[in-house]
Amino acid sequence: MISVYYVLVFGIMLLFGASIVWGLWWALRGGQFSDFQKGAQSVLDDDEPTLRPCDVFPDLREEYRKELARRANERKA
Amino acid sequence: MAEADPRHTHQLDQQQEIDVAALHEPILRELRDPQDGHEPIPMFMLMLFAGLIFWGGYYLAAYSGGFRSDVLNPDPAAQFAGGSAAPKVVDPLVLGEKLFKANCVSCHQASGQGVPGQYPPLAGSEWVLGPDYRLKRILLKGLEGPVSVKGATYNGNMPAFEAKFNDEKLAAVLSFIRHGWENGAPPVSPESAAATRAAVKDRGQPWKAEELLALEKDDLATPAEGAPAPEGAKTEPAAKTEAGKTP
Amino acid sequence: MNQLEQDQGGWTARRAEIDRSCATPCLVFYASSIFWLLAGTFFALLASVKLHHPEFLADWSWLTFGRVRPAHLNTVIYGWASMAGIATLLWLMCRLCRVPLMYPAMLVVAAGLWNLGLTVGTVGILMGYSTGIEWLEFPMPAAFLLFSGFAIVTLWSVATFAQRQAEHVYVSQWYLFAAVFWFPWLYVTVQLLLMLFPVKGIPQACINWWFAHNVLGLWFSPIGLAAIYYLLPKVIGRPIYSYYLSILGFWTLALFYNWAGAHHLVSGPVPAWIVTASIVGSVMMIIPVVTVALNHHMTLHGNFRLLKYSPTLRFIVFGAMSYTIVSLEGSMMSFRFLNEPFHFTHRTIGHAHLGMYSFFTMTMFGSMYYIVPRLTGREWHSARLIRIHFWGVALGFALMYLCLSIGGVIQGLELNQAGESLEKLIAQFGYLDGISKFVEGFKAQNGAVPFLEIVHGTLLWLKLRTVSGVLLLAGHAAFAVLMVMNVHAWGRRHIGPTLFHDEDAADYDRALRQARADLTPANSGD
Repeated sequence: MISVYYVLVFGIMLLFGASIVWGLWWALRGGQFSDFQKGAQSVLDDDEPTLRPCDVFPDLREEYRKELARRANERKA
Repeated sequence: MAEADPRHTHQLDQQQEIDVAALHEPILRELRDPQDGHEPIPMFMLMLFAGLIFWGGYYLAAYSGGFRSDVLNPDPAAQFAGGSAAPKVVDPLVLGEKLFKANCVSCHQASGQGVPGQYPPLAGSEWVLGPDYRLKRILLKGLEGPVSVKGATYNGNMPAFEAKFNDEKLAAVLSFIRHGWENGAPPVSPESAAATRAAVKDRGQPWKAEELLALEKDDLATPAEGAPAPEGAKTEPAAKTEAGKTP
Repeated sequence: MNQLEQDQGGWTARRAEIDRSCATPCLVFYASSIFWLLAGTFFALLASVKLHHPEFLADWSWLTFGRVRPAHLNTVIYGWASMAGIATLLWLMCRLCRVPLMYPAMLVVAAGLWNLGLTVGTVGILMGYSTGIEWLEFPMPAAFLLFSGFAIVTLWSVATFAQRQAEHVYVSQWYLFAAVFWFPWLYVTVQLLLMLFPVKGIPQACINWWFAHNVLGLWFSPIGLAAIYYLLPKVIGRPIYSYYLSILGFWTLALFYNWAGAHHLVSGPVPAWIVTASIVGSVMMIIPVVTVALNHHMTLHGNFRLLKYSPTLRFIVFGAMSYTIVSLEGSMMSFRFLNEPFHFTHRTIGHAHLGMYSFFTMTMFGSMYYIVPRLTGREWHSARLIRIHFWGVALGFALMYLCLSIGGVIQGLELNQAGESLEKLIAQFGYLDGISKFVEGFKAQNGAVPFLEIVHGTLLWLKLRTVSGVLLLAGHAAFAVLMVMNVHAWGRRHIGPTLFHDEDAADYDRALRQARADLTPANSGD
């Protein structure tokens, strides 16, 4: 019975420890850590305009439009 | 808002709320920072992390009780200092009663009278009240074959408790049966239990009654009997651990 | 495989296709999660009332405190939080890998298995077949069903990841991919070591808390953080502040969180080094937490006004801030000198809800406000209901947290020999003098407060907690109504994803048709 625990616990431990190390190695080799600029922007698609709200209270649309226009004017000034 | 802006129809994103043209300028200005998404880790955070890691190493070393599995107190000095300053005292009679109830009571009964014809009584028994060297041997190795107790003959098997009880427990349960049911015989000390255990350790089989009756004395140098009085009998932990080493 | 090149600049169509493929399974998971949220809230309210009125519904064994309380815990953890988390996980995974979900029907099967397991487990608990191990009260058959359902989710996540068409693995994917591995690991290990081949004695407690704490940190937290990392840039329209910090946050979480569980066993008969290692691990969690907090804060910096307009952002930011607070609080609470007086008080309940409710649940609400309209193609119908939802749960939670924290701290001080009870001292000397005498008494350690007096002192806070539960229930009910309205298209119908005006509907339809044409197998290029 005790040996079952050892096999289970240490086996799983080694497996998961190794998988983490492998994941890190894979990411390093695959260039996941090489271009952080691209990494940050990958979530925003090319055809997706930045600084654009995509979620708003249904009754605040017009107000939100005005808020953005106001911001735009402020920046111009 | 330029409804006529031709791009309006091409931008098929879900986020078509705001007009592109009106926003274009602020968007471009907002993205002026080419470092966006690229900020290095601030220095103060690196310092904080270095400090944390240093602290973690110190704390782990200082409060882990030497990484021993039997140290439960984070500060082992406190655990052991506290232990010797206030020794834990166990009344052997209380311990003995507990052990008796757990191990002996099914045959010898809570009244100590045994079961007539099957299990001999302990209360008023000459074996219990008499010299303790026979009693210690019975408990250690067991007893088989006919035995006469208080004029009646019993033929049963008393099991051996050598492996189950350490010296402290052996002494406690014997002290209890010698003290209880108005028996009033002097207690047995753990030291004398240890000595007898050592003396008979090579014997393999249970005793016969006649063998024990043939014994004239505890043929080893035992400490003075009855040194600790039954009521005040307290065992020091030092003695306890020393005695406890013998299996 | 050339789809990527063909679609350059045409991600819009791809996004629409992904949303369409995810719609059925994700909505099934979301709808079930809301059902279990309501059930869990109901059990929570019952349990809360029973704490100050023990005679309430005490005659029916099914609804006694010892059954209702684990029923609450398990329905909200495995029913609400996990199901909402799985739906969010699937959708984010597809979006980030840029591939539609394959064979979505199988995930509906997974949702069915999961729901069946929950029903069996909850009824089992109410009938009295609880295993008696905290966080794992569901009887064995339920655990088997849950695991089967989850195996499908894991397989589908791995398959989606393997087919990904995005070159870069975004930080959210790191978190999600880790979560789908970590959860089965935790669950299988704990089922084997506590149920099938139960270990004896102290290791049982160690394994139990290793599991219970890691479910929070290695299953719920990664999903919550993945959602925040995706939605924050999306809603604001600006990339995350620092990708260095994102990556550092993920890997330090992976390194340190696993250690934290044993701090629940402070002062227990556990080898000192296990607890000490756990405390160090808990304190080291400051590294990922500060990293993530700074990253989120700086991303949001300058855009706080948007909180007024976007429901998603409101809930997400509430969740992100709570993550920082609850994690730092957790690091502090792991220390022996704070853990010893406050561990077995209502304060711990407050802390647990700060994590599971204020961080994770709020983040899931925010994700649902963003994701569900994209799945159904319909906007949220009522701004008023969204406000009722937000303020109901925000105020309800704040009240609950305050009650449990204040009541728990008093309870902890009194349990640790604070002299006279606070209640008595205030009655005798008034508020200011009473409190100062209470503190003096605690410092002097001049005798224990009678236990019943301590219990009596908590009643006020427990009653207020029930009030907070009513507020939370109101918020949840408002959200459930919003969901039903959205899914069943009650009221004015909007065609297309949220925030489309009617004049955009035709454009959306065209895009969707285009997307379907592009992605039919004949054109897929494989």
